[in-house]
Amino acid sequence: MAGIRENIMASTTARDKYVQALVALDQPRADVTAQLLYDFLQRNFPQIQMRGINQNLSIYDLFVFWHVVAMMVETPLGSGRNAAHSGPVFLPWHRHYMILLEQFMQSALGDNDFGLPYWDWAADGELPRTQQWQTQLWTANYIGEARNRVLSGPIGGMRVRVWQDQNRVLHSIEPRPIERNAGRSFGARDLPTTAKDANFYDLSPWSRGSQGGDRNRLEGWIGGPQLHNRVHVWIGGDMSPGTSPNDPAFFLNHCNVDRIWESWMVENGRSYEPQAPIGPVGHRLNHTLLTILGGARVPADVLDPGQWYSYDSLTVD
Amino acid sequence: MQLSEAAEETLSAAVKGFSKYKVKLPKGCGVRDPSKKDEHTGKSIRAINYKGHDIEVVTHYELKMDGKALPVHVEVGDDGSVHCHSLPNYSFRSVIHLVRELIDVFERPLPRNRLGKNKSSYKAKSGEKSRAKGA
Repeated sequence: MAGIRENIMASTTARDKYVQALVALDQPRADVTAQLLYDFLQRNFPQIQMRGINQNLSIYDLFVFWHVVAMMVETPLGSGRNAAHSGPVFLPWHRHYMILLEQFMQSALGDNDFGLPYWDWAADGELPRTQQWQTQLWTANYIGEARNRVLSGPIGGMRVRVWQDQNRVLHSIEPRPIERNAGRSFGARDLPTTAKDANFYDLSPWSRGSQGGDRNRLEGWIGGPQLHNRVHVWIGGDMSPGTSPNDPAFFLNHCNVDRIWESWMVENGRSYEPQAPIGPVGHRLNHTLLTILGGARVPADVLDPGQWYSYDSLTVD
Repeated sequence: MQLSEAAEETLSAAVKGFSKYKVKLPKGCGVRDPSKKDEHTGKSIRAINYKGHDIEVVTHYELKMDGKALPVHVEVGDDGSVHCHSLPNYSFRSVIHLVRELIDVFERPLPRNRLGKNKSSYKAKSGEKSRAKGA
């Protein structure tokens, strides 16, 4: 059953279900422990260090972990690209990742029509700077405080348990509230506004350095930090390191990024570059997207998301 | 919210699959071993060909905080912006700004390590507060 992904500020139903599902998936469980994650790394990526306390973790923590693992896998080694970012695979990988989260949320809610909501941050980017972090989104009924610890509402009950330090070591930490620092980073004092300008998906060198293309523009490296990257930097706090999915604002951001991509594809066709045999390994149309949960997919499988979801609006300013 | 039996079954199956998962990577892809240093460690190399000339720019940053080396690898983009993998979405015009952001984001106490067979003791970072109680 295909869900409809709605603007979180336009649908209190979507908002409430999202929050409910987050809380449900963030509950620690006995079959997901820090030791289990450690063993996974020892089995697959012993170079990734993990330390800390052995505690029960949650399904949501597995998504945080998955994101970190994808970021640590270089594609190829020494390229500056990883299995989820800084290259063509950025958009299809996050689409694949969110499809599974959405399915788990549908299970938790008992609602196969549920769709992840998005945050149209470009609309907030039009507000005066001092108002951007004081909208309804940052209140108890939505996702809680924009600055310092998130303590209000249901999201105030979510906990950060897996966190990556500046040396990229993973830590299983004493559970604590989510932290944000909206609008305070020197790198991004205000939110982005969008502008569609590319009529091709990506180009060589297929990296942060690509001078054009919808992928690199949307990821936010051109004149960066912009768009997707800028939202991470603007929110700051737990949205800063590789464990950024700890903040549920992550999925609101990525859902909007996915919506912008979908809008672009409706206009420009479901095209993807590079196609084999050219292009970097791990980023071609038929290369497996890095997966640790659920079934594996390739970018070609997710170019058309119609079987899983659609958006209430593809209008992008 | 209590999960239904069906939901619990779905999630438990996913966890079981994860516990046995063996990731296969394409040739050439992998995770850099932080303990191994090569000739590129600490250097950022930009290479272009312009009007038939091969140009290479090697940038090496030596960062120190409180008199001690700060082991952060800084990459320089073709546009001169700097980036480090610890802050994966950031690009900076200045390395000073990068280090300030590292302090703002990462300076916090962490628990003692209890994971794995070889339980190495956690080494305190410079400027760290006391360890979390009960860790």
